Amino acid sequence: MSKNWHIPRRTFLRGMGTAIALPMFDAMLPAVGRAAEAETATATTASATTAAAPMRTAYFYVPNGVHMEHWKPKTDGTDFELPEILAPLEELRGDVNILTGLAHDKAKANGDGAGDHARSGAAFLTGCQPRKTDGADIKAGISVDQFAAQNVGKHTKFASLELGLERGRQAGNCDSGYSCAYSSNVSWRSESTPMAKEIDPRLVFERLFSVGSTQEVAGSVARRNRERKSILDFVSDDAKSLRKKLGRKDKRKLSEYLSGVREIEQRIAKSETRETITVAGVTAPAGIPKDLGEHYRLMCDMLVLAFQGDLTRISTFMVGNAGSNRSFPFIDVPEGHHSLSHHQNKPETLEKIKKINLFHMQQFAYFLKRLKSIEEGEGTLLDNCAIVYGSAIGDGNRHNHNDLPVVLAGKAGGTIHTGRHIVYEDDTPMNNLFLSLLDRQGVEVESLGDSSGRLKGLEG
Amino acid sequence: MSLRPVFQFGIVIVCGILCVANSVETVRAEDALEAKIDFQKDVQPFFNDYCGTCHNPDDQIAGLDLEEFQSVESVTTERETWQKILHVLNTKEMPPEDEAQPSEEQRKAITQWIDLELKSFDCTKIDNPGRVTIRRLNRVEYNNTIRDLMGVDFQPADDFPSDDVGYGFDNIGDVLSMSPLLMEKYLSAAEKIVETALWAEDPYKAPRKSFEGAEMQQDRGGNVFGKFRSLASMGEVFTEHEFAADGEYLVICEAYGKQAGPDPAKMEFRIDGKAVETVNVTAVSESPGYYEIRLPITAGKHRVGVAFINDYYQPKHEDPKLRGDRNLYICNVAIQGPIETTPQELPETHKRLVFCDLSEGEDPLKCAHAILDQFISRAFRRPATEDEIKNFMRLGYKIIEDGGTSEQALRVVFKAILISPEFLFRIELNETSEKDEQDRALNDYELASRLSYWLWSSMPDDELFELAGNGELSKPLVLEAQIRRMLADPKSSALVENFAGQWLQLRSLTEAAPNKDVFSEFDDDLRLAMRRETEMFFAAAIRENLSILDFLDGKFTYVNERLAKHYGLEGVSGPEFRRVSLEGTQRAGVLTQASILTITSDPTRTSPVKRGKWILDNILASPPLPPPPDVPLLSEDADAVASGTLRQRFEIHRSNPACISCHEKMDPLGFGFENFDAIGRWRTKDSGFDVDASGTLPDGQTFNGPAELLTILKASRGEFSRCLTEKMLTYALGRGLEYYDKCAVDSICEALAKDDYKFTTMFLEIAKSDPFRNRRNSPGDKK
Repeated sequence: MSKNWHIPRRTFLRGMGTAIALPMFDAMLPAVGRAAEAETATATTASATTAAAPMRTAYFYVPNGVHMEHWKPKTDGTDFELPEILAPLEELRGDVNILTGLAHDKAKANGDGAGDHARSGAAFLTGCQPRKTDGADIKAGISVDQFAAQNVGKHTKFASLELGLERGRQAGNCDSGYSCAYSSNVSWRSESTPMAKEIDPRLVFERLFSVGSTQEVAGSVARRNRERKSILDFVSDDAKSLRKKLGRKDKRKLSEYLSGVREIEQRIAKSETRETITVAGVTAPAGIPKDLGEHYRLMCDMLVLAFQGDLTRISTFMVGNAGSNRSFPFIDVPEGHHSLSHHQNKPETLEKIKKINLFHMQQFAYFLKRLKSIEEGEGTLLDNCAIVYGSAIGDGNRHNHNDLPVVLAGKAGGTIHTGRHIVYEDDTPMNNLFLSLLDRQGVEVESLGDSSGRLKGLEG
Repeated sequence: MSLRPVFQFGIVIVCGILCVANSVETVRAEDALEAKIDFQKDVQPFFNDYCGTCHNPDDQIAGLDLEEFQSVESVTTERETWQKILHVLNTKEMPPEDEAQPSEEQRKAITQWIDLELKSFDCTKIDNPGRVTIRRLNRVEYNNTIRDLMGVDFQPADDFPSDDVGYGFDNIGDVLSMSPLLMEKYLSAAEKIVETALWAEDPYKAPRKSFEGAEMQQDRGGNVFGKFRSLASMGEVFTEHEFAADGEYLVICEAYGKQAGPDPAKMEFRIDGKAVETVNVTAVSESPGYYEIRLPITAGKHRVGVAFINDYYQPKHEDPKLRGDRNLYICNVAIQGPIETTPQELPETHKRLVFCDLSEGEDPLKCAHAILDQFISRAFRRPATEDEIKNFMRLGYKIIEDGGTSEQALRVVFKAILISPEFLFRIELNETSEKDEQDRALNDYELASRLSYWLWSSMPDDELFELAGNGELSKPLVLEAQIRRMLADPKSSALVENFAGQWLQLRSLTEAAPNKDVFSEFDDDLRLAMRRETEMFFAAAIRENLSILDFLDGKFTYVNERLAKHYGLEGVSGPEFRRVSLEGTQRAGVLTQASILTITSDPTRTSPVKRGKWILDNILASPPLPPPPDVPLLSEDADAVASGTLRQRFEIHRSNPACISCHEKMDPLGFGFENFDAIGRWRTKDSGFDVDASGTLPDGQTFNGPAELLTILKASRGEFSRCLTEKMLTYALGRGLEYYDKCAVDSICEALAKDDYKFTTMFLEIAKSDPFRNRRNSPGDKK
């Protein structure tokens, strides 16, 4: 026996809750250059020398715009005063940038009439004009997270995670002749396939850590994986032969099916090669808490775990569905959010919108603090993240899609200079920001949706 | 509601007051008609001026030559092309930005003319049953289908992500997408379902005792290494274990080697010191491997061990490749058993699905074939083909070749069936007929599925399968009898939950949040009671084959004590619901039910606009145009509130000319119900002022109070029966309606009117209709 190991790789520190498998980036190893990560296809699985922390991105969507007067800092640069809604970020000032001036042109009507909310949801991460339809021929565009997922998703168990706090609408129309698919999803795998989101923290947990329905024990995992492989193999052959007998739209549905099958196949393959250690003290959530704040924070906890454990590097998080009319009686806002957002500049209505915006921001700050509390390499998990928080509507009353409220948190592995309010020229496409984040995630793409170039000035 | 493609607007979350600017935008098709646009005088010059540079006979950019169109008839004959033209003009994709642009007025005039022409057509010339995209089972359908197929009644789909809604319903093929997340859920649901329904030997479910390497004993060569134990030279790590019973056991060892020399580390499993089996431990420290053996063991104490048997230590070997130190690391050892090789008691579901002897009968292959034939035919809702059965059998063989039992093989095959596309999607194939017809009649199995998913949100039952099998189902009398039977079956409650829940938007009641300060008595019991009332009302309309007009003014309802008190009805006590007469009250039909009145209100007050819009959308099939952006909202500041009733404040507000055109339709309808507060209670005062529930509709009819308004609405029976028919047809087909469906809707409505608007007649007529019985083979074949 040699002295190579000062800490056993597989350490079982079982606590009260379920043991969680974590990757070994650098807990036990000296950090190595980030460059190695991008070049190594299997960074987390390969030998111990290449374990550098990867970059993670998450995109938080808030509905109905915000009370801009209390969002937008009065001055730019580093010396700005944090407006009221952003106050929860005080402790995190050095970790975030406030971006103003960005716009989503494709959320505008551009000849399609009413429906700003549905469009703002569909365009938020795609920068594409959604087709106005209640059902037939749904079309938006591939969203930035899915672009990333299709490229770097292969490194992790889950290519991406889609989270939210509100179930999709169950009846009726969502917005002015736009199918509810546009309002309930911000993540689009293809231009016609939205990625359904998970809103129950229990289900996220079970999914991330493969617990729940079937208590897997050592040995049976291998058998189940083998079995799953034969089943998936079989049905994908089956689906391929079925394809030939179907019409155009049917084929599209079958392609969705097949790519779902492929993704699970890849996940099984990954699960067999991953190397993990295990830590403790995580308790599985029981379900959706009644308290919205608790719900929000629990979902954030799940995302932190997923990032910490390198189970995924990409996520979207819908704080509410587009045009959400949720009420917030617990902060003295019994009216619906959407109804309030048509505030007509009335002080008491604006006050209530501010309360909602502040509430959302407090929970987001919690999320960032959690990320910051986790050490990774020389810095923290947050340092290796780029978290976008924003809306594709500026002011809910005007339904404007320029000068959007955007927070960009995290240093993206040291490639973003934080602590600033950066003012961009009006109507700078939001997708320019996304393009710049894709660069940092090692995804090469020339343009995305309506991008007109890279967003300048993030490096400082 | 696609009969009006251009006017298919509707927001349910209404943003304050709906207004429409009194500009060109408000010019409706009817006005365009009055403008008398002439094809030769107006349309052709427009094309010449703005489109002819590219879309001429020489260039034909995008394959389009507008000079081909010589008369208005081309709108009918080249319908799809005209729809595209309309679309690109509406969205301003055309003319391209750098070309000459028509004025807004010109653009509007032309687009409205095209729209109107597209809508007016002759049913004898247009004959298209439409085409339904393959429909994924939605959550409710999945749960119900699993219940009927497997006989296990848990609700696996409750954990699935919600299904997106289109055209007001969540069963629309085009909208139901399949994300990787959902695929994953289908797979784990299939595993859970099959493992519950079918018994199979499952060694990993047997009692298990596990020992960390460090807590075991050793003879020589070993060392404690964290929680593991290392074997740096030959030796055994073992434990003394008390076996509870005779039987087969698994011994599973998690281990890895520090590899060196020509061979991998070898590990020998030993029982009572005797070698049983030797395995190569190829795993390395980064990912230890599991190594297992299975063997019979007698009850009592036995020593279970694993030994390192090929130590290697050559630190100075001349060949650098052979230099090194080979060690074996034991992470843990688990003993699992006794394994249940024959079941104590088979689950009922197993007995039913596995109806012959798979292992020891006369012909196990024949038995497996029969089981699969039956299961696939039911799961795929049509007879299994011989090829399919053989393919699935082949999958089963693979498991058996891999050392599995027949039952384990069957489980795998069943799981594969439950995630195959033919189960998860309702598929109607593109059948190529020799005559190359573009439409085809559905076969009886497809018809059976359309019926069962429409009326039951589930798969066909045995009777439907049998009738489909002998080709009886499509016979008119048989079909009619089946529809009556299905409506009478308890499973038709799915129609109440899913159709009524979405048509009347009862599902939104779950999210309704009346403000506790204003409506302290509102709680979940009341919420449930409200929903129950409307559901029972709808169920009665089906069960008793009532006139659909009873939805507008039926003088009865269902209440329990709680709801009766809410309504001010006397003589009802206890939690159970019962039917009561509403004679002598101001209530009738669904519009005065608390459920509808609540979901069309704001948290703190009624919303006559929402109520009016709800009626236009869901009762009169006449959705208003959406509001323009930047809508001034109703003033709610203290001065305004003190100035009069909500109604008076509205009157001031909507005196704005930009808003009046739509609000004069919506508002009176809503104000007619002002005697009901935001949770559906009767009232005569609002904020201390007398409620004024009178009004004048755009056509001049006047009313005072809900009862009179309902009488007027009942006279709009034509609009209402069309509205309900369109919704029901959308739901039955699982697709949005297209222009050509107007013909089917017309004839259903005609039959309904002839039969006193009996609800069952609507079902019978839909089942007979062209779009329900036929399908177009491939989209866009026709040029």
